[in-house]
Amino acid sequence: MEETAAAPHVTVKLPAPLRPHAGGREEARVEASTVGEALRRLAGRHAALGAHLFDDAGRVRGHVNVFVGGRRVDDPASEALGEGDEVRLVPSIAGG
Amino acid sequence: MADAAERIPGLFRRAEALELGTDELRRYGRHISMPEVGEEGQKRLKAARVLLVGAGGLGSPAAMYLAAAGVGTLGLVDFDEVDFSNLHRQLLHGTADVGRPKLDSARDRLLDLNPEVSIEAFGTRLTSQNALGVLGGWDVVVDGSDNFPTRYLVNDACVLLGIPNVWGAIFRFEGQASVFGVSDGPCYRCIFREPPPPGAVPSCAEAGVLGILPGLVGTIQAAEAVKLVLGLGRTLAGRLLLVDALGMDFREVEIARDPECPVCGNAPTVTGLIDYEAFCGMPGEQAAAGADGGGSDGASADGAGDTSDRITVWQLRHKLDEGEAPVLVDVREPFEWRICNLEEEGARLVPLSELPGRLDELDEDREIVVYCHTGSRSALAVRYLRQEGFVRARNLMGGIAAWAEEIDPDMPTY
Repeated sequence: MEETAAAPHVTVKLPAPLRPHAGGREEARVEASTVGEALRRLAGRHAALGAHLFDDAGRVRGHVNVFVGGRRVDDPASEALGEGDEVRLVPSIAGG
Repeated sequence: MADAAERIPGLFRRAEALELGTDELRRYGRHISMPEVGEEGQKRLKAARVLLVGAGGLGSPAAMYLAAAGVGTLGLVDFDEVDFSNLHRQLLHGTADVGRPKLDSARDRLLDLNPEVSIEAFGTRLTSQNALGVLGGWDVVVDGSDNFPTRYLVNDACVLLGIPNVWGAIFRFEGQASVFGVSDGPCYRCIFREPPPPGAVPSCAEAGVLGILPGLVGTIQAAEAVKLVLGLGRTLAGRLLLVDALGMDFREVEIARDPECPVCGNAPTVTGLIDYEAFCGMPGEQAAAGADGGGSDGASADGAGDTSDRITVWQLRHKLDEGEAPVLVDVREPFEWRICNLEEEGARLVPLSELPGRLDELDEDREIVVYCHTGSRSALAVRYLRQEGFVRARNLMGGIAAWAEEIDPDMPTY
């Protein structure tokens, strides 16, 4: 933990469809400077979640949206995070 | 009605030509007494034509509230029959309706709520071939469908036709709602650029859903449809509403039109309806029936050969009849096994979550056919089994639901 103390502490909110791939967690705390880094750290902890978040080319999948503070993130890699930010993942669902 | 702004071109003018009778004035009195609605607004509702795709969980509350509100013409698209497993959330249908076409029970219920409403029923599966014909001429579409291909189909058809798409979707305890395809707001594809890989997001049939949740989300869709018709308020266009019934938490996130959207962007590449089953990585209807894989994405096997990772219910029946019985593994939950199972054919229950710890019960050299309710969980199981060296593992396409439909009509369904 100490060696990355400079990175902001953020919370990633996981919706129901993704929870089974993250040990059932509703949220996870990570230290990360960008949205992309936060998602990579999460994927590092939960490989199955990584497969659901990223395609083979390493891009966030087209059915998963990422929001920070209610605003949609277009480019996770360049989206800087601040201390206490909340990253919300919103995958598409189709039930009716 | 000073604040109303017409959102459906021509609707206000159509409404002016209508009159409200005494019974309608009495029925809609609590609407009309609000200055925001008034008699003019109620006439706009009467003039409106709203089409609901799906008469299920979302379509039930949406249709009932829209009928009660006095929307003049309601369209319903559904090809299903009422099943016992619908009744915990689909309030258009009652216990006595089990086995009836949903459109029949929906019509009865809606006309009982409001005989002033005209119902147009489309008892068909919405396809790329018929969607523009079915959706054309409606003022508002309410998407309450239950699968990704239909959602992309409805979106694209609405964009091509210029019809607002009041969209809602549910999963377990969570829901989403928005209004797509109006003014400069986004369409569904702007937000959900691609469908999830097949099987990545289970359906409600697989994952379950809180029966009350479509009541919340479908009612929100009805409210948005009424606002579009009346030209009142601020719709969900440009916002995605996220509903969490467990936390009873409603929040919204901003969404915007994508200039590069293939359907509604500045240089659209999708200018007609496409093959949405293929777009969603699913085998087409014919492939699902094992007839041929043509028209699907080509990468998917059609279950024809013994090396395929899929098998149809008819192929399984044939193998059983020929005495070539594979190891049959049911990866559903115990309660589902209690409703129906293939125990007589030699099936054993190994719930998906227990599979990794029970591999020693399976023989790597034998053919293994895995089934679940509709084929999603078993697809995951087969992928896992093949990774673990069970190279003859195959997924029963369509699951036990397909078995009940094609092979054993007496089997209880859910």
